[in-house]
Amino acid sequence: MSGYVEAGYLVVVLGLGGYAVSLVARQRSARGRLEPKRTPPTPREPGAKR
Amino acid sequence: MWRDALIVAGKDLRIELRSKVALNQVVPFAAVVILLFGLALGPDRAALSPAAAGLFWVAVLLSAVLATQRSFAVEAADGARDGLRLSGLDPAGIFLGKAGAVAGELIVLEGLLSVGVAVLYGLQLTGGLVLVAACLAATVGLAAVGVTYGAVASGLRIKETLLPLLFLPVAAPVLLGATKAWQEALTGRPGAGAGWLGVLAAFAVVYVAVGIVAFGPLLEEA
Amino acid sequence: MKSNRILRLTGALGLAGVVATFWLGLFVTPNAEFFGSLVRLLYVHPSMAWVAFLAYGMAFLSSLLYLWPRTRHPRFDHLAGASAEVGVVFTGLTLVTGSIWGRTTWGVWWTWDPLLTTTALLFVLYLGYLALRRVPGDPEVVARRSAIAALIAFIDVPIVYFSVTWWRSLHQPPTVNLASRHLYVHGIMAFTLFLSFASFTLVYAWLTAQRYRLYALAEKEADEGLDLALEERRAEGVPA
Repeated sequence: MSGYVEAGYLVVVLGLGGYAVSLVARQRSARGRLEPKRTPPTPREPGAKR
Repeated sequence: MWRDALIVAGKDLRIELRSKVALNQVVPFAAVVILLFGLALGPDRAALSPAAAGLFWVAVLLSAVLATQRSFAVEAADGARDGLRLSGLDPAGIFLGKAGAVAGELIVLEGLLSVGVAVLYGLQLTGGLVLVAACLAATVGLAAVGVTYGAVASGLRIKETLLPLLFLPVAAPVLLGATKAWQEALTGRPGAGAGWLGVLAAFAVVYVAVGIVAFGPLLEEA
Repeated sequence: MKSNRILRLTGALGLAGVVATFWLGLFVTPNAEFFGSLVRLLYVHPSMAWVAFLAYGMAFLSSLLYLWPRTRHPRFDHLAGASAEVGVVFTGLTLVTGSIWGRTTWGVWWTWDPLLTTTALLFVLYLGYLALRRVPGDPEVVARRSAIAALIAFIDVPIVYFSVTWWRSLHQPPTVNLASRHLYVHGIMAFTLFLSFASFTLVYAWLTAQRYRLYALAEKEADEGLDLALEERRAEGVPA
């Protein structure tokens, strides 16, 4: 065993796994940004300063 | 289509003749590149002359990026692009015209540059016909890809960095084919070099066809 | 949500397939006479390359569908972008695993082997495509421009491959590749090899679908962002 084979497998796992995790995380954050916007913006308090 | 191509090519070449940007900037740039290669590889002619063909074509490729950028910088000012779009000229004709103008400029550049390479790198320019044919075929291919990608990237604010990244990898087969054709011809085997002309010609035909088809949709965008 | 279930099933199958491939590849399959344990790299390297080419082919097809006026729809643009991005990831992995293979069999990290060289050029070609996609602009313009760039890039693949192969074969004997070494693949090895192709293809499908969803979300976000901005402007106009 040279370690090269293991390195090859490890690269594949880390590469694909990292990419998959990043995709899911980005989806989650995109959904998170979308959710609050679903509800119409609350009207400003009367007399509130802008 | 061909008439439109001639009109556009004539316009672009006239602009270059009058503004002399290509002459004053692109040609000196190519000269700088081959000088730098000389410095990087050392003064030894034995090392320089086998690599000369490759260095020459790398210099041409880099200059082609500049020539393409120049070709679309001309259209960027004063809404010239809209004028071109509204002119009623056939988009395929506009593509052929612009590519023809770029090709013409590159051919002139290659002529000057080959003299420079011959002098600086101590090269005997033998096997003339294959050399010239390789220049023509490679230049048509480069101009076609360059102008198509130039249209893709024009109107983008970051085109200076994007165009080389898009253009150079696609042009890799041209670099390979033209360099091999030159090497074979220079070492006295024009027959072997002629085979590479086929690759260059195929590349040129394919990308001229792609450009003709793709240029219409590309010009539409605002 | 039926599509959701199919996607989840694809992901689960792909993951299970990859785990099984790794288990078979690392522990069950025998060493080959010539390659020793290195033959185990066979179960990760060619399948990476296959998926990369599949992904680029997919990006090319969906770009064509986008450019064709009758089938023009943003979803094909999204599919092309998603597929190309996953393809770039797999191309990167192809290069790394190929490099490891080269280091162990030829003693160098890199040879100008036709396949490796083509793959490296593909990598930079599609990095450029992805960079172009990231340039902001009117969605339709971006999509059209990207589709044409994908077309140009994909047409280049056979030309690059042909010229690089010819370039290498003229001056020295072709570099060692798997086929020329008379590697006999049979039994459990063949099965593992097949399993690796199948499961990484499923993984590709899952990743592409996830990336596609991200595009859809981004589009929605842009739309809703516009609506939100409009509502805010309107609210400003109402006297308090």
